[in-house]
Amino acid sequence: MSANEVIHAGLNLGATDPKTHEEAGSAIFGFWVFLMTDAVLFALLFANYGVLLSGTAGGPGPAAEFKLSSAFIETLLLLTSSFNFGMASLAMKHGSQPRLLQVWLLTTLLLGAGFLGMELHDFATMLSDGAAPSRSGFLSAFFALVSTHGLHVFAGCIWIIVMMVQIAVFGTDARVKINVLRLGLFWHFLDIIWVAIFSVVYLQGLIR
Amino acid sequence: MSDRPRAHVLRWVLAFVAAVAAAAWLMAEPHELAPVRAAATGRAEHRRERRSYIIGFVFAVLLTCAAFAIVAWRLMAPGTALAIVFALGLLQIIAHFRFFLHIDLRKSAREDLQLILFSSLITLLMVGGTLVILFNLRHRMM
Repeated sequence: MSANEVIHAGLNLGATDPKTHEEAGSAIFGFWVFLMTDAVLFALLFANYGVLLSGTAGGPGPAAEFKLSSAFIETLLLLTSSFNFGMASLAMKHGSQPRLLQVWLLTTLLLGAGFLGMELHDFATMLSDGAAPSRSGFLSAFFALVSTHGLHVFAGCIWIIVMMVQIAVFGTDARVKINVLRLGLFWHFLDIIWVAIFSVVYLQGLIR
Repeated sequence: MSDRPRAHVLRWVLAFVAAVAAAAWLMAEPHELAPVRAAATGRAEHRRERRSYIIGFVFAVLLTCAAFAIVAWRLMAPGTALAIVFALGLLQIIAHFRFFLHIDLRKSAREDLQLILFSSLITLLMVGGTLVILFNLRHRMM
């Protein structure tokens, strides 16, 4: 197996670190299996949302509760953070010092935290409007879907902090590199789920 | 919309075909531009990978803005708008897979690609099946 060969999905370390590259193959494949089971979870939450969309039970509906501007800003925040993580992966793969990697991870973390802050603010506004999960089937499905994604982003933020500590303590050794590769897949995956959420939930709800 | 069901279906089909064609282009395009891989030194590879992320980011921002613009400024009838928004979303997901997760039809390790395709198949079956059965049930209950 040559170092230039692509042995797993996602960014390959390749010739920059042939030994870790070999190790990463099975580690990353296992993580892909997890990501795909997670995708199945989200797919069923989407199906659930689609079924319950019209079940507003006289309560507030999508058009009354969703705000296009905040959905747009959240989308841009998460998208930019995903791009920043790409830059972090490249800094890890090609850079000689971990400083740049830390900076990109920090900006990714801040953008992710900004996304979470806006989402929590939206939830708080909805709750104060009386649009709680217990109000109707539609709202239950909405909160189940969107807050599951939010929890994933929260877990991703914690994971970024853990990786920043690991990089500071251990440097970029093989284990740390493979962990950052996994975290990258996770973070890009969450952005893909968000694309589905803003299309199916927010935009569909606001089309008039 | 119900008085012109055929035009409605036609729009969905057109949106779907456009999405698939653009997706095929997205998946295929970089091969022709990519330099011979064996010759790619570290620096050239770095530049190529950074360009891939930047192209992906630009694509994603454009597709996002287009989808939000359609809804914000009510550029078309609701049925068409929904079809186009979903098609743009599908395209954006494919662009993310291609440029951020580096998955394409030729370069990827085989079992990874098979895993993803198989998961997509299960997902489609489960989501499609759920929607068909439950909407049918609702229709009968009305």
